[in-house]
Amino acid sequence: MKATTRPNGLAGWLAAYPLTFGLAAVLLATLASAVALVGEDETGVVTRLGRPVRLAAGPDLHWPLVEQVVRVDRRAQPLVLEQVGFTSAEGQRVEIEALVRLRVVDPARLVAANGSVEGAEQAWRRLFAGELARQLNGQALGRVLGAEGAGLAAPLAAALDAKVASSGARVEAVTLGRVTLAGGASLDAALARMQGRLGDEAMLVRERGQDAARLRQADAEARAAQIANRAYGQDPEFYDFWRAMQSYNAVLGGPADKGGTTIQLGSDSEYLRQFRGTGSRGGGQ
Amino acid sequence: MTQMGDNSGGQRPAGEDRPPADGPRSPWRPEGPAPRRSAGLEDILRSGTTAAARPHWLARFGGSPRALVWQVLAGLAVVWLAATSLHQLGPREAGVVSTLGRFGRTIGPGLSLTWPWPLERVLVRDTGALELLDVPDAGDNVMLTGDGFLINIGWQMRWSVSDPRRFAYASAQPKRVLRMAGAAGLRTALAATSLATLADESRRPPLEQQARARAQAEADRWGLGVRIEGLTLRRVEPPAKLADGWAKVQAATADVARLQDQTEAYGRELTARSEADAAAFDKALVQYRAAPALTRKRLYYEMMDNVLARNPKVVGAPGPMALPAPRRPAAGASQ
Repeated sequence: MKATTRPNGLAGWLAAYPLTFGLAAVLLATLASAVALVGEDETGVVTRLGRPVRLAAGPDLHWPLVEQVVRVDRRAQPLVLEQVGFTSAEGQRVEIEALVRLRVVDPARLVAANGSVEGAEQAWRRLFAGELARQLNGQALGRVLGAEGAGLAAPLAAALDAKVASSGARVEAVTLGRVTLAGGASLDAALARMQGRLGDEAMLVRERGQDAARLRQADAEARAAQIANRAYGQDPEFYDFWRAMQSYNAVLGGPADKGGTTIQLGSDSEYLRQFRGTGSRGGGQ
Repeated sequence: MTQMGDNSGGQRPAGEDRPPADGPRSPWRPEGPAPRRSAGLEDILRSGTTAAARPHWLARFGGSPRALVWQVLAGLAVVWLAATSLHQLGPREAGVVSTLGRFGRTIGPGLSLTWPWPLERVLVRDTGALELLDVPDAGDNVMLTGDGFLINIGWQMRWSVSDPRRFAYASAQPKRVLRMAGAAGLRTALAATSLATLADESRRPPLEQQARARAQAEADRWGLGVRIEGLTLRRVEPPAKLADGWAKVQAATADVARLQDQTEAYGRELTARSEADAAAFDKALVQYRAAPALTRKRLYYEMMDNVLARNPKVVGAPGPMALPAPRRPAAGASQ
């Protein structure tokens, strides 16, 4: 009875033909593995038994099992090198960090040589750190600090680029990050020197400050004189009189004149002219 | 008897299907041919042979296990469609849609429709939010100044995504690039800065500006699609071994700042005073020009009032007078 019944439903079919369904599933999975979606920012390198045969972009169909798609990032890769050490022209051990902008220009060659970007990265790091140290050895510290202004960055990039040309990559730029002194005996000596220089630096700051203060004071006085000249230049003769009045007021009539100054007024004084009753005369005679 | 037997069994419609009742049966109905067992797995798998074989809970799903499977699948499909093709973005968000891995388009705030995954994928970015990058995470970040001093600097960069497409595609590690761009910007700015400048907090903003601009230029060279809003020095201190010297420099810097304040105050006061004097003279000059002789006399008498009132005086003594008399006005003046 059961053997002749037509299987019902998916489960029934599954139970009835496990081998068929299993094979179908394997076939489906294999077919799915023949499709690769290569992203906007990557290039696919199709390898047949490990050997690159062609490039792929977008949705790609390839032979399952024998062919594989290795994805290679087409974007600029940031390779950060921490702690590259070298000796400066001053004999100082210096440590820098550097950012290398690297782009894969020949993905097939890269895959053939290194398998993948990740596989190449370790080798690149070692290569770059060594080459950077070699290029920077004997450079003056000031030049390294202002690498861009000193025209140091472009030759560095060129030197690194020469090292990776054969592996399908290009070094587009090298940017130096933090620059600092390396630890050890040379650092201790440098710190001791700096400590001494800091004392001089403090003195220098003070002197510069005082010079600046003097300059500002002179400026202010010049500005005041300018204001006075403009105003009093309108009538110097009246200024002489007006200022004299102000001066007498301030010196003889001000609160500063505590004890008082005895002032003699002669009988022929101009001040007493009206007092004498000769007021009709003109003043000053 | 026979028709009763016909009634038992599974020819009733599915809706009326019930498990055998435990309660009392009709007295005229004999016991059924066999008590029905509950539905086993075989029954379910052997789906739909007879309605009687179906368990009652299946009835709710249209009655057949096949229908149940399809309904579950349909439900999953709806969930999949809703989850991967409907996208609701907030007011400050932007989504980068990639179609089969390629850049397709960007979507803005509101509800957007895309093809379901894996045909299209959406990467949502918060574009308005300010992000912070602090260096160092912990420990020291010792750098060199232009005049060769070591200084420990903690800095912070504030940035936001200005172009979600570029940010999504320009680099695999945009934050790493940003951090290095900031470090490079600060290193360049420091190379042109002396320790004394760094000791003076009021002189740091130009340095920060310069570092920010350099970092932005580096980020632009990478095409990161970010805007660096600012770079701030949050901590500036010397290595422990330079603490004494640094304290001296800072003391000197503070003294100089005080001196600067003082001289500036002096300058302001001097200017104000000379301007007031000049203004007073201008006013007096206007009066003098209107009536020269009269103004001279008035000023003279006012001065004499003030001076003589405050001092002892001898009137009528011989000898020349102590104070000059007002001169006669210029020829032609009639007052």
